Amino acid sequence: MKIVLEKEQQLLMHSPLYRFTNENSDEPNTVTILQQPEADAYKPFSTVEKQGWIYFDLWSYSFAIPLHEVLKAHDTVKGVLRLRRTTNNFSYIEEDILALSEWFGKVRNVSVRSNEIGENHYTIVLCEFGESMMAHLEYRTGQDRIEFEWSSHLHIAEFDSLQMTGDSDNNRNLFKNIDAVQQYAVQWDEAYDENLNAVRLLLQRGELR
Amino acid sequence: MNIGIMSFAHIHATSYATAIQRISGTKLTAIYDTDTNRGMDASKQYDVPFFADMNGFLAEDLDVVLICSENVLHKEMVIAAAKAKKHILCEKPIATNIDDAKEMIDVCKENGVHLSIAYPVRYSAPIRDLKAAIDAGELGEIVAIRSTNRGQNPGGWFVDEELAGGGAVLDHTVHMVDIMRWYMNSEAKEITAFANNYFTDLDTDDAGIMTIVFDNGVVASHDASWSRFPEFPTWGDAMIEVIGTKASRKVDVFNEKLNLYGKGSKSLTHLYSGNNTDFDLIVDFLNSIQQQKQPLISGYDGLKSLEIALAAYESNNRKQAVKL
Repeated sequence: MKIVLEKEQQLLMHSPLYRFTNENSDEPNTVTILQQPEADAYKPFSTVEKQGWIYFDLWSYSFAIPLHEVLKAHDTVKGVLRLRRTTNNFSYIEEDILALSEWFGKVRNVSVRSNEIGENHYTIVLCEFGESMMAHLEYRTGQDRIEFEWSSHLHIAEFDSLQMTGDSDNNRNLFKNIDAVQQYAVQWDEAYDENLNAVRLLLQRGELR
Repeated sequence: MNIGIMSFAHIHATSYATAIQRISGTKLTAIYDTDTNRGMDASKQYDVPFFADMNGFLAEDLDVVLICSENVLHKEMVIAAAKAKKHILCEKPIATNIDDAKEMIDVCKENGVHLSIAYPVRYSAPIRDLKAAIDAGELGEIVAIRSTNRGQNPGGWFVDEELAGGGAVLDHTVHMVDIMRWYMNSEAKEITAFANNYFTDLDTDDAGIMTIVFDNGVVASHDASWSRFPEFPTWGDAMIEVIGTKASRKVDVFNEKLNLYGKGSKSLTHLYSGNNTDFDLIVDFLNSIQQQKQPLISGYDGLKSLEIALAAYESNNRKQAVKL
């Protein structure tokens, strides 16, 4: 298995199931970490030419695995989603919407509002997914952090990437998990190109809505 | 100072009555209620005469009345009390529509009485500390604000729109948007919102999320809901986070707590250990009246926060931003 990591991203390498290497290898149970895309590798959404297996940043972390199990086991039609990213990369907005659409249904009714003072940028995206899931997505400038909350009538699931450690330079909650990458990556095709273009259009319109 | 309570429909009436009993120089002297059984129960509990007739109640020698009725009755009670020259502390929301709120403010002004709205969150110590930090410039310029007020379904008349005037969005928006206005001294100019039934089968909305753009350019978001089930460790939250150019700070009124773990369906309970905001609200309001000062929270504050909550419903219905 091969994975392309973005610059400065790290992979969790604690699993005894895998051997991790930077050398190209097709051996079983071996994970090859690449810097440049290859056809048969899992590639990040930021890859310019999206082909083959593409993984979303949001669903590439360990928290995504139990979250997905909870969502599979319970009613996810109605509820409230809150995602908050502290980041210096606001291009996550369209990627996150696409990722959330994969799990919660088609996005609609997008509204976008922002404020910027000096280097401090803040954007709120209000939208709905599927039939009856409202979502509030926030993006603010700063060192990487993900806060996620899903509420339904019976369950509330919360995640905060800072909850495990205050050491933001070595926060394993924000290391990629190869099992999450493999499980939730999508085989990119024309339909995803169309979905991405639709999300971009909704975000543009959402600034005026 | 003689104080009367008009209606025990709102649960805060009991904490206000208890507060009055603790404050020297004040006396709870009369209770009026549209619900005779409820009023009689309160009368017995506090050993105070009960009046089933509002005019009879207002003819008593009262300096101040506290109105804790169902929301739709606020207007009638405030106007009657103002005409009887009583100073008024009215539960939130001030009213269920803008015209009523404006009329209530006008009638109080014409009769020379103070109208204040019960926003006890303004008296929370951490909320006040954050206000002081903002005023001292510790956060720099404010870029954005986010807040949440998510609690349990209150049931009863709160979930009956004919009595409450709205659902969770009306119930749980006004407190926190009042704090936003107070922190920034700026008014909302645009609201975009969703409000619907996401957690219950109620006939009214049980949750909503809104984006608020203020006159000063700050973008804010507020999450209002009755989404916390009884097994949740606490009633809910009243959280606000202010993101500034120098620093960001987050406080939750209910986060001053003792964690209690136990066997049973509720394995964790948060025992609140912060200051008694209802008590502090009553003390400050009564001091203002005694000292003939404008109370900290005015009827206008009630009106402006109501405007935001009602605009959220309008935005949800129209599926577009609403300008104020």
